[in-house]
Amino acid sequence: MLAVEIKGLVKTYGKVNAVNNIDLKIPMGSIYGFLGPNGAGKTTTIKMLTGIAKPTSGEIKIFGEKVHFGSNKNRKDIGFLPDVPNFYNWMRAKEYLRFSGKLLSVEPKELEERIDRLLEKTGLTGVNKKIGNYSRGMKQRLGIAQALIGNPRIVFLDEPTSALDPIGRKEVIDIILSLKNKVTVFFSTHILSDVEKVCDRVVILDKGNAIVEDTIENLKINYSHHIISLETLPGDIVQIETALSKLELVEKVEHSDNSTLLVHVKDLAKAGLEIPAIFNKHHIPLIGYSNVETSLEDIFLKAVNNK
Amino acid sequence: MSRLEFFKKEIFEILKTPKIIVLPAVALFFGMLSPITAKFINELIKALGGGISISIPEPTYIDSYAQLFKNHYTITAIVMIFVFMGLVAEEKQRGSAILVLTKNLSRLNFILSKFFASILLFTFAYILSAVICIYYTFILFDVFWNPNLPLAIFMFWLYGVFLIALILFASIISRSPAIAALFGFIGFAVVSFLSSLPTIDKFSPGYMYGLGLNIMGGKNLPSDSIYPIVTSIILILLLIVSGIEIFKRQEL
Repeated sequence: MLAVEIKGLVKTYGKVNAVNNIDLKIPMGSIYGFLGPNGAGKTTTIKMLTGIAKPTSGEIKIFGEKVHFGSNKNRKDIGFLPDVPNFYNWMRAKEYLRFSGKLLSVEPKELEERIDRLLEKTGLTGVNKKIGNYSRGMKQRLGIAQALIGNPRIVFLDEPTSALDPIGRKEVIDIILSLKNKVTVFFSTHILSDVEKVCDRVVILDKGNAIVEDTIENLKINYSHHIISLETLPGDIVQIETALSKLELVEKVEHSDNSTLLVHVKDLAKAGLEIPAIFNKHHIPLIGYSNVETSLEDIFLKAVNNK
Repeated sequence: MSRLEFFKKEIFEILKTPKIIVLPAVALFFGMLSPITAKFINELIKALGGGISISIPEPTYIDSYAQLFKNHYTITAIVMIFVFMGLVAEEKQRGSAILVLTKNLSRLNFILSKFFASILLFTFAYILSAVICIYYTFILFDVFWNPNLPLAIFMFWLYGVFLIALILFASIISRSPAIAALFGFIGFAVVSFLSSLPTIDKFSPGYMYGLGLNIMGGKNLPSDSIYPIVTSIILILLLIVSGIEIFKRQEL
């Protein structure tokens, strides 16, 4: 069963197309990355998914149930953390979670257990100050806890790490990772390294259009840029650069530093045979040979530029 | 979900924030000040007038209530605009509304909870003010009772509820508390203006402030109160129902 199914989703503000005909199928239990630069339409899409913004056209289904703007129908299935979560500053974390759980009709005994479990998971156990005195990171962690209080089947996290320092980011990423295989997570961000750490699948959004959708492994294969890093002695680098440039499979050779070359090749397998042979032929030591892994950032830039 | 969960949160919010102090403190202040002003205003004017002979009628206990309603009609109304302007606009602007409305809370419940909790706060402050005023009126004038006093007090309470509905509506249609305050002041000015126009005035909620005193003084009959009371109830319902419908259509 699909957690989320989106067909032809469009959202326009006047003449601006914020979301342009998106189709998506999100499998249950996955951690799904929703990638895109600022203004790509991520927040607008999430707001439509959670029923607080009205699509101009298109259809959204969550666990097979249609989402209607303003309706409370799917509320118990959904947890939501907006990009800048704001709570009632006079409350304390426990109070806010209790209030949130009651809004979702969680049984009192079960609610108290969940509150303790979530406070522990988010590192807020024993924090007794008012929410108004929380740091951004603490608010973000409380935001995740309130999104999970109803034991939802899917959580929508809108840029949960973007406003945080590296420690806060790591804490939030660890919490998201702990949800793997328990809850479907739909996670929007423009921080690519976060997506690489936690997501199974990603969709890349740009100017309201979904331009790429796949698993990270497949994206790395399909968008691989076939670069090999070669390390040799500094004195031999010019000679080997000239020799490699003459090979038919080599597209480009770049200096990384005075002993390392980055060689762009057409075929990685063929390069594995031919390049060491060239080193042998010229009696130049090959100290290091490695394929340069394609980062999500490279894929993102390629996808955005090639669309 | 218990339908009262969000209402309870609103009540706790009133109790745990300065709202519980501001409105009751203003009401209490005017409840005490009004009878004192009514009693001693003549002496004050005479003292300030120096040797000039001024003929001013002796104050009565009704002047004490007149002072109270006059103070509430202007200053308390302004304080109410500031206390209630953020009811919805602030929650929308800060984003706290999104978090509760993506749980199992309907928009109808959200607005009605705010409306009734605000009425409760106003009623508490108003009762406090009226009780203090009655007490000091009795101390200073030896008399406080008038058969039409309950009607006058009720009419002014209804006017307060109308003001809350007006400010809540302004808060729903506004993106920020400041804009809500602006709309609130415009609404207040329009109601005050309508109360000064002949023929229309007797239907205006603002008319109830003077009418209550006139009924107590015998210048109007209690039955004259029916027009502004009915109009006020209709306007309150219109403001709340249309406010809820507008809020249901708003994207957050």
